[in-house]
Amino acid sequence: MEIVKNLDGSHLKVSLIGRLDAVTAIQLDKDVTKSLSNIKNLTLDFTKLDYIASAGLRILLKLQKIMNLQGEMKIINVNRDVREVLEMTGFSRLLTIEEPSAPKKLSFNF
Amino acid sequence: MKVQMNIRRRLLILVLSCSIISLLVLGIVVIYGMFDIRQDAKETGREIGIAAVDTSGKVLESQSRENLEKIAKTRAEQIVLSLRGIRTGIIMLSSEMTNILSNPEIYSEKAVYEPRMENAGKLVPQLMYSATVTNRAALQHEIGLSGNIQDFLFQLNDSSEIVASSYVASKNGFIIQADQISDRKFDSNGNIAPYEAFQRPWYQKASAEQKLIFTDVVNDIHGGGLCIICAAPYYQNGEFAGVAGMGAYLREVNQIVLDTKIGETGFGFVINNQGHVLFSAKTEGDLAVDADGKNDLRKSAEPTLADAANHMIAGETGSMPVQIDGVDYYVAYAPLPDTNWSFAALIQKDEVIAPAISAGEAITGKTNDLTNAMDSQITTITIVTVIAILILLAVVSVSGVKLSGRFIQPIHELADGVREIASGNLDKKLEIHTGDEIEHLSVCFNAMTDELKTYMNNLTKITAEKERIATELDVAKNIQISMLPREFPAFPDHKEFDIHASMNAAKEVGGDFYDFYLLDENHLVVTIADVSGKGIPAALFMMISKTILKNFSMTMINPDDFAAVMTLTNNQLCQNNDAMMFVTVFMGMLDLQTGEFTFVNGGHNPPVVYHKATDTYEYIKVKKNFVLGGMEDIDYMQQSIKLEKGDLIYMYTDGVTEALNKEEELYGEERLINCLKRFDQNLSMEELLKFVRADVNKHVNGADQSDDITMLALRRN
Repeated sequence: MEIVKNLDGSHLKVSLIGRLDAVTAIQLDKDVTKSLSNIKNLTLDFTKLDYIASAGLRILLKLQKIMNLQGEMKIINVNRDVREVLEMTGFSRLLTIEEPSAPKKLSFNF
Repeated sequence: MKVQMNIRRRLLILVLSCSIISLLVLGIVVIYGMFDIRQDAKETGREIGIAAVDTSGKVLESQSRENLEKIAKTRAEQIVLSLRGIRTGIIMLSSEMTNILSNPEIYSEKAVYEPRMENAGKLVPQLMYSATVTNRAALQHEIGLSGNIQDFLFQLNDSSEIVASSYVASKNGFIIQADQISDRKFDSNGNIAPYEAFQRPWYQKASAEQKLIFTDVVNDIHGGGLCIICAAPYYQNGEFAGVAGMGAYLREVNQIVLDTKIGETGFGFVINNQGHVLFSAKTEGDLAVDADGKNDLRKSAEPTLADAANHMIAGETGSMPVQIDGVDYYVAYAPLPDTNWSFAALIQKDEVIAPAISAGEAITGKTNDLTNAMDSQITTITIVTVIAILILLAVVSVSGVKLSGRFIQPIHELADGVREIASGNLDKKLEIHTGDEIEHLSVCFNAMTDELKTYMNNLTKITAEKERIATELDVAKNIQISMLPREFPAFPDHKEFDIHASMNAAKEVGGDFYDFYLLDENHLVVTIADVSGKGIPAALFMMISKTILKNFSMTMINPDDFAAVMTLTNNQLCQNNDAMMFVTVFMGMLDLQTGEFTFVNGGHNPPVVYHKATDTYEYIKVKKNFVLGGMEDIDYMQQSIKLEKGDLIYMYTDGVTEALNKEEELYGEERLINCLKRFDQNLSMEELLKFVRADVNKHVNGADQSDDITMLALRRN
């Protein structure tokens, strides 16, 4: 799995690419947890995340608990497979998952 | 061994090729240089030769022309001197006659005799008359007076061999002549022949010009060879009285001309003002003596010669190149004023510049000698160089072999040492002291051996440690598996349901577990769960979860409190859960009497239910409660469905649906339910699990199992 981090002030955006399984979950834990000091907003981009295992869920839970203390965390662009896992495990109720923004309709004022 | 030989060979090749190339280059440069110098020397010699011929030729030419002119002048003077003797004689003769005739009072008349036969061969003065004289007596006074000249005539003739005859001819028709040919003065009848002086050219010319003249050269009537007559008028009291003359042989002049030998080819000649050659050393060609006076040299076929003749007749002094019969000559000429002749001396041009040419040839010869000497020198040097090169190459080859051997020796030692180290003797120390890179290499090898030794010691320790841990993990795995109910049939007394469960752990200990037990005679509890993560932490958390769940279940009094079991377990698991472990749990409870199946889902995969009445499979629509251990104080909702006889519930962990094949395709819910649909309902639950497992294996097709595969099936009979 590939982890791409974008830091903008106190806003950290982490894009996950590939599979978040038992092995890569450890990588994500190490990589992101240490970057969280002074972060107010953490955004996890799941656009290219194909799969999430229970070990990955554990890291999401851990990150959520850390961010509960210092700011907010949200997950964006969750695909169908991952969304199913999050919903089944009840994580979707605990985590802030932002719906993919629907394309805005153009309004014309004549 | 092969590598060492290669290094050795390469060293040799390097040394040898460097030497050969250097020596070849040196040799080529030397030989080329020598040939260059030789060529230069040859070229320079040739040029010097040409320049020498050219320069000295010019010098010689100008010098010899000067010489030639000098010779011409000298010879001309000699000829003039020779002729002047004659001239002087005539001047004296004519003035003596003038004196005698003008002063008759001091001279007495002398008898003059006519020619006598017996006087032939004797020098005698003789008197002869012209045929025109009619009165000889009238002339006797003048003849007697003129007789006083007889002694002078005699002496004049006698004084010089070149004088053939001398005479005085009066205008009045007599001549007194001194010669030795008295016998020729007679005609065929024995009478004394008349002498017609007036008709003679010398008389006509001298009387006409009234001055001393020379006649043309004629063949002497007396047979003395070429002859010239000098004549001058004499006077009586200022009036022309006659002509005094003298015939002279030109032997001396001829001799002077013939004696004019200049070098091998030089010669002289004299021409008169008619262009006729009078005297010449040549006997043929344009320059041969023109005895008959027919050829005019000015009209010669050789234009240069004709030109020279013009200059000569003009009385000039000088020199010029001419060509005679295709041969180049230089001609120098000087005038002979009294006779209006000109003397010329010639010499061949080749002879003039012969010394220059021979000098040039000598230089060329020297150059050739030098070049030949250089050639032999060059040959010697080349041979010496080649021999030197061969010797050097031999020396370099031998020393190269020895040197490379010396280079290679430490490498051999190194190789032997390394082989010993490789065979396991890590205490071996390489002892190479060559002071070069190879020593450095051996030092590095020693350091490496030390490192290797340390590393191997560490590795031994670590391996032992790892083995211990692996053993412990194995034990842990066994404990974990032994925690699960594994005896089937589990409840031989209960025929009203069939239950079977299996867990295929992945390589390391995992977090899946299942559980089933009877709460009482009427209630069967089934559980399937999956702890997040793997390894020892997951295994420990699984043990705790299983234990707590079972404990709370066992203390439950009212089936309605089934959800509370989960809630309590969750709270229990959340305490001190710093590792953020959690577990997904599906737990259900079957009322064996009614078939009521009460269940709570804690974030687990929804099980599949089979309705025998409709022969359909479907995923149970479970409430999406949160996992256990993740968050405290979560209320879990319980649900229930009714299981008729023959209905079954199939429970599984995500190890089933998320099994991957090599193309990384998930097995998935759809494949799972399709697989179940193919299951023969007459078979047992044990067979069902095997059937599903076989289908999963078929999908995975040999790929590594990444997660525990745990299943539990329950059918109401």
